Amino acid sequence: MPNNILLVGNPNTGKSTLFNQLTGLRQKTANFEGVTVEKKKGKFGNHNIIDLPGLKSLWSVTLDEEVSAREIIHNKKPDQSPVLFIASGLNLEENLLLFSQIADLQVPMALVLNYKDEVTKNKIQINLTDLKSKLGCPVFLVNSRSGEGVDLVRALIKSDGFKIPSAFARSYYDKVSDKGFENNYRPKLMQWVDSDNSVIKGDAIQDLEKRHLIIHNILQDTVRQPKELQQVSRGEKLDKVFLHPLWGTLIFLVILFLVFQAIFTFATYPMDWIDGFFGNLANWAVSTIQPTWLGDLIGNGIIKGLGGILIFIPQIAILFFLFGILESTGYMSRISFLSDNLLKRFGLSGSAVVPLVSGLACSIPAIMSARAINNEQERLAIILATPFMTCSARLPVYAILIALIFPEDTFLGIFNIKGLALFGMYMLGTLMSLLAAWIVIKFKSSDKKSMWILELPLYRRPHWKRVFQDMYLKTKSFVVDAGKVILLFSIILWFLSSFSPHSESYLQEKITENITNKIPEESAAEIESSTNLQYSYSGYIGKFIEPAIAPLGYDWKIGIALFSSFAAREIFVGTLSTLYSVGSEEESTIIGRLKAERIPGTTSPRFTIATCISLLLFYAFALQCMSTVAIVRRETGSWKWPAIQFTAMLIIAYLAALAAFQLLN
Amino acid sequence: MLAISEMSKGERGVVMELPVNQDLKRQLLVHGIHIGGQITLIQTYGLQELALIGHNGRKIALRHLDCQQIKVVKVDA
Repeated sequence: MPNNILLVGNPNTGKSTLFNQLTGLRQKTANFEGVTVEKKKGKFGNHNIIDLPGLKSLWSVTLDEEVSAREIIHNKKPDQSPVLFIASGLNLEENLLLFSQIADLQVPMALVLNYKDEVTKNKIQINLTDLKSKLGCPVFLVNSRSGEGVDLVRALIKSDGFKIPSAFARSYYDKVSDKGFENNYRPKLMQWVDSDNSVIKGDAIQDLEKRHLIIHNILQDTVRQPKELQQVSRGEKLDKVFLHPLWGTLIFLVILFLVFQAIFTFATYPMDWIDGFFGNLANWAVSTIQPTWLGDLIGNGIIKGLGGILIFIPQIAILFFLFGILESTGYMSRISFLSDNLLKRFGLSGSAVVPLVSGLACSIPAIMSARAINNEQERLAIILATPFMTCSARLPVYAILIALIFPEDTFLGIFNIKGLALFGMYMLGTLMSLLAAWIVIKFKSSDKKSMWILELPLYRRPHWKRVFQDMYLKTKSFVVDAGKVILLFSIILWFLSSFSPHSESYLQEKITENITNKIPEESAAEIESSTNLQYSYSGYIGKFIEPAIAPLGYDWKIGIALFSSFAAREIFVGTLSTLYSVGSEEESTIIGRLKAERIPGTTSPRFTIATCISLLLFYAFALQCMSTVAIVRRETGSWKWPAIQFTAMLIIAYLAALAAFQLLN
Repeated sequence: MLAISEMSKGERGVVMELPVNQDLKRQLLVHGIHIGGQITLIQTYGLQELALIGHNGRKIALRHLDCQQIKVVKVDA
């Protein structure tokens, strides 16, 4: 019995929904062997269901299609896996193009026609018996959202009912040899994906043209559909508004604006609750756990460090939830349509919108999604420019800095001022991305024309289960990945901040000296804690880099946070939380502790408007994410581009932060 | 024969000629636009320099420059 089953289909055919129906949450993403794009793997009984990225043809155009195409073309005997092919029942003719290519590779298959409800609503009549007999393999009509008909697919998998379909255009390739008929279609496709495909471009076109004719003839008596689909007519009314140059753009900006308002407005209460909970838990740990150093490590090191990132779960979950809705309704493609003309001015196309908007969540999948761009120069520009987009790891940093300098007020009585500031930061990141892409395109000119053809999916109601499932999986992945690093850094930082290379008597001498010179507003306890930190190991690291960062308005404490966040920018908040909790007992919340922080020997706040704006700009432009550096290296195939990108972004960040502090201070 | 860019909103046509550029031609074929296939011009967007065509119940957006290279023969509605 076969163990692996490949789930293949065109994009937007409900492939992931069927995959979720079959595997539930028992799924994980994994890398292809030897290549880099993600595939999803899930369990159904003792079978592995492998969900390949969607593609339209084995004559692949983009890098991500090539990955799926290669997996299908190299799926040969003796370890051949059957293919569960999912197609939209609304566009059978287009979907059968890829089906026919795989069929000609002589692979056991089954065809699952999705969107049964919409097929019925649009009065499309598909003669399943006729289709099954013409294709020579099992055919099912299902609704992957509701699960209707999916039981038949489950039964097929259990009984291994896959069949090698009838040939479509194989006769054009087959040759008679001593061994009988030889299938030459696979070698032709292998030549396409594995070597220089420019020499057989003509063959690809001929193959596609032949297949269109054959499929058209097959479906002539099998599928009957009205001239205008109801769904399309309904979508036309919506598209008149959403694709309108003026109204469509305004609606897009309003949607984006509301997303960022929602992030601040709806997240406030759960964030306050989490912040208070971790503050109290840390205080409890410090006062209860013995010996004292262990209580301090657990309370001020681990709990406050972790609390510093867990507090942002509500904001990140809301961001992923709202993006999930935009994706599942089909609106994301409308954004691509609206943006093509604007992006053309920067040398890009509407295809660049998907990586750019994905970059608002995380640069890593965003950079990987640039594989869908068919022009190499444009793809490189997007890879290098996407890290300027405001990713979710920047959100905690922005949220804390914005909360420090902007009031709780509203603008015009309805708009949250902090939400407006956050919107501004997102706009800044987007502008920088476009500018960076334009510069890359200018410097790396190419003769190859950027092509852009976009299929607009039908509007659909959000599939809530999938939206929530995606939100849960993505938020969990963010928290687990960031949490591991932050936990490690919190422990290291606590150690570096709690221990000193000096003796106890030396520290006591310095404390006494500082207390003698203290200003009246400072308490003896504050002097003691700041002196201990100043002469700790981390104090010395901070002092070492202080000359370079002092012109930006940062002291050695911020320097430590800045230095540690070069591994991952979200560490900044956890580090500040750990550093400013060492010895601070009066304030339990992070914001409270940072607001209370004073420049030693003065009553001036450490986090002034100038310092916070300078930090905001530094974090907006610097590439503080080692995972992004690694993915850029992988996607460009050399260290040259990540090195240029890292250095350029660091210089821009430093100069912007310097200018902001010097002008505002 | 006329180019898609010369069609009026709502007009239907049968594709008679695809662009000479092999990459673009392959892209169109992969998207289901082939010689003999019927298309409808849904809308043109002058400001965005795009056209929206209907093909077998699907909507496909094309740039004006590419539309100029796809020739059709008009058919009655």
